[in-house]
Amino acid sequence: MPEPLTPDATGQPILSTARVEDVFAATEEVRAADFPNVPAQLLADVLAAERDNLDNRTAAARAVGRVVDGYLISAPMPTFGSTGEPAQEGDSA
Amino acid sequence: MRLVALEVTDFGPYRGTQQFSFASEPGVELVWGENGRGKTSFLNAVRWALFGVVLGRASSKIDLSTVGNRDDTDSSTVRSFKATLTFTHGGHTYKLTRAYREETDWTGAGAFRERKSLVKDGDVLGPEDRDRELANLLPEQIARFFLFDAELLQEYEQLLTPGSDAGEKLKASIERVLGLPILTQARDDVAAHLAIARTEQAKAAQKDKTTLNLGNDLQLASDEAENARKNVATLAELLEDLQNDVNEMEKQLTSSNRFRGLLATRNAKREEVERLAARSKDRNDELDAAAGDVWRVVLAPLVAQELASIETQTDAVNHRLVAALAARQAARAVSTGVCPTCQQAVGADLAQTLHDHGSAEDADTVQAELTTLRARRDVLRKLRADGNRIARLEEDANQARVDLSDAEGQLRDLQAQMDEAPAGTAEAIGALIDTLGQKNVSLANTRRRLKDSREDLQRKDQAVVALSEKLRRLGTASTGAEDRKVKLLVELQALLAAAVAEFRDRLRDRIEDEASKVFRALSAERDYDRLRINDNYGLTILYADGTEVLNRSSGYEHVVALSLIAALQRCSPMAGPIITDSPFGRLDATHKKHVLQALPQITDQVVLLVHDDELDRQSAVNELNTHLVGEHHLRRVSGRHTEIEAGAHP
Repeated sequence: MPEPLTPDATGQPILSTARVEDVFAATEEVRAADFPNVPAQLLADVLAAERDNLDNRTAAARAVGRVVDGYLISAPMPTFGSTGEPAQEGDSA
Repeated sequence: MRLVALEVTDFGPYRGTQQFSFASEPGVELVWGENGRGKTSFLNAVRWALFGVVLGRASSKIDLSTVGNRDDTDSSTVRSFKATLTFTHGGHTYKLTRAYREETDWTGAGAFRERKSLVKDGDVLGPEDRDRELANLLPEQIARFFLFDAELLQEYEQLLTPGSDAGEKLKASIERVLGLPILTQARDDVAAHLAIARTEQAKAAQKDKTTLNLGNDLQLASDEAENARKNVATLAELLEDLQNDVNEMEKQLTSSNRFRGLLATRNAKREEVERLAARSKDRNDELDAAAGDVWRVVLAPLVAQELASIETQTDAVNHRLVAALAARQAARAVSTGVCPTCQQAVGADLAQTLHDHGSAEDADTVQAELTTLRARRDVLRKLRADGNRIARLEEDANQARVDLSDAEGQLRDLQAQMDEAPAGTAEAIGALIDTLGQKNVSLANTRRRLKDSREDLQRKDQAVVALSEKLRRLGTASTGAEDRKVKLLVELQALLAAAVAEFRDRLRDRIEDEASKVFRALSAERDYDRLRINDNYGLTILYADGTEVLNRSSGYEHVVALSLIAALQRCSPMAGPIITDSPFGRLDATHKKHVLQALPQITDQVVLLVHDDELDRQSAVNELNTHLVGEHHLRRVSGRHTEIEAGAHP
C-alpha cells in the first residue's frame, strides 16, 4: 500500500507552510552565526524593502539605498567591524 | 487564493455568456468533457483572465484573433471574447475581467485590443494598483504550478538536463514561487549600491593629495568594471533575445511539421522524377541507337522457328555421325579380323553380323553436313541474342516511362496538397530554416563572448575590491564616511550571498523531503523509495539502497512532476488552486487512484478537466469520496458551441 499523505508534524493543514518569514528567519540565522557585525534591523529592513517591491526592481533598489543611507545617518560611528579587518566579499553575481 | 466563479463570453466553444460557479468547500471538482468539447479552452479562459495569454500545443501562444467563438455560418470573422474571474485572497474579494474587443479610434478605424479591469471589494483599481495587485497575487512565472496540462507536466523532465533553456526557466519559476527572489534581488541591489559607494570613495580620495593617486586608480578601475558590467548585461540581454527568437522559430517550425514533411517528400519526389526522366531518356537513346537492328526483332519468330529446326537436324545428323563412325570401325574389324578398339580377334560369325549391320553412310560426309548445320545454328543463335537485347531495351524504356509517369502523378498530388497552404509557405519555411541556422550560430558566439566577458568582469571587480580596501585601510579622514559605507555594504553583500546559498540548500532539502512524501503516496512501485533533488530542482527516483532508477517510464515522469508540484504547493507562500487538463492520460489505474487520493491533500481547491476514457467516473467518485465537492459537464450543442452545465453526464 502506498504511504498515506498526512498533515505535517505541526498538525496544520498541508497548505502554505512556508512564508516570507522563512526567508527572513533563514537570513537572520546566517547573520547571527557568521555576520554579527551587520545589524539585525538593517538586514530586516533591506529584506522588507525587497519584499514590498518584488515586482518593481527600480523601486526596490531605491528603497534599499534609502535603508542603507538611513542607517548610516542614524547609527553612531563606528558601529561595526571591531577588528578593523576587511570583510570577505561574497558572490557579486 | 480561492476561485469563486468564472464567466466566459464567446470564448472558444463557449457561445454567449456562460457561468461556472466553483464549489465553496475545500475539495476536488470534476469537469467532464469529450475531446473537442472545450476542456483546454476552460483552462485557457482562466489563464486568459489571469495573465492575458491563451496557450496551444507545445505551450505556444495562440493568435487571439482565432479565440472568439465562431458563428456557424461565417468562420472568417474575428470575434470579441471575454472572461471574468471572481476570487478571494487575504480576506478580499476580487473580480478580474479581461476582454478582447474591437474599438474604433478617432479616425473611425477599428482594431481589436485587450482590455482588463480589476475590482477589489467593490472598488475599481487604477492601472498601477491593478497591475501591482495582479503581479503579487499570482505572477505569470508561477502559473505553471497552478494551471497545467499533460504537456506542461512533461517539461519538468528538462530540470534533469543541466543548462537546458526550458530547465533554467523552470528553475527561475520554482525559485520565484519559493520566495528566493527577495534574497537574490537584495544581494544584487546591495552589490549595485556597493559599486556606487566605491565610486564615491574614489571621488573623495581624489580630493586629498595623499590619496589622490589611489583615488584615481580606483576611479579608473571602477569605470572599467562598470563598463565590463554593462557589456555583460548587454550580452546577457542579447543572448536572451536570441534564445527567445530561436525558441519562437523552433515553435513555428514545429507547428508547420506537417507542411515541412510534405515539403521534404515533395522535394525528394521531385528529385526522383528528375532521376527517372534521365533514365527514361537513356533507355530511349539506347533504343534509338539500336534502331538499325530492329529488323532482328521483327525476324525473331522466324529465327526461333528456323533455329529449332536446325537444332533438330543437328541432333539427327549427330546420331548419323555416331552410326557412321561405328560402321567405319566395324568395317575395319571385319577387314583385319581384329577389333580396333580392344585389339581382340573377331570371329567369322561376328564379322558376318558386323557386315550385315554396317552403315552405308560415309562419316566424313556426315561430319561435313554437321559442320554446316552448326555454323547456321551459331548465326541464328546470335540473331536471337541480338533480338532479345533489343527487346529488353524496349522493355526497359517502357518501364522507365511507366515509373516516370507514376512519379509525376505522385508529385502532382503532393504539389496539390502543398497548394492548400497559404501562398509562400514553402518559401517562408525555407527562409525560417535559414534564419534559424544563422541565429543558432549567433547564439553560440554570444554565449562564448558572454563567458569571456564575465571572466573579464570578475577580474576587474577584484581589482576594484583590492584598491577600495587599500584605500579604506589607510583610514584617512577624507574618505571616512565613504569607507564606512563601503565596509557596511561589503559585509551586507557577503551576508546576503551566504544567505542565498543557505536558503537555496534549505529549499532543496525541504522540496526533496516533501516531494518524496508525495511520491511515496502516489507511487505504486514498492521498490521506489524516494526522490533526490539536483541543483535545478530536477528529481530522480531512488531505490532503497540509494541507487538511481534509470530510464523511468513516461507515466512515472508525470508522477514525479505531480510530486514536485505538490511539494511546491506545500512549501510555497503562494498556495493556490490547481486546475489541470487531462492529467491522467499516461497513468495506469493504480496511479490514477493514488493521485485522486492525494489531490485533496495537496491543496484545498482542485479542478480536474477529464474525459470518460481517461478516468472512470465511478472509480473517481469512490476514491474522492467526501472530497468530491462538485461535478460539471461540457455539453455539445454543435461543433462550434459548448454549454457548461452542472452535474455529471446526464
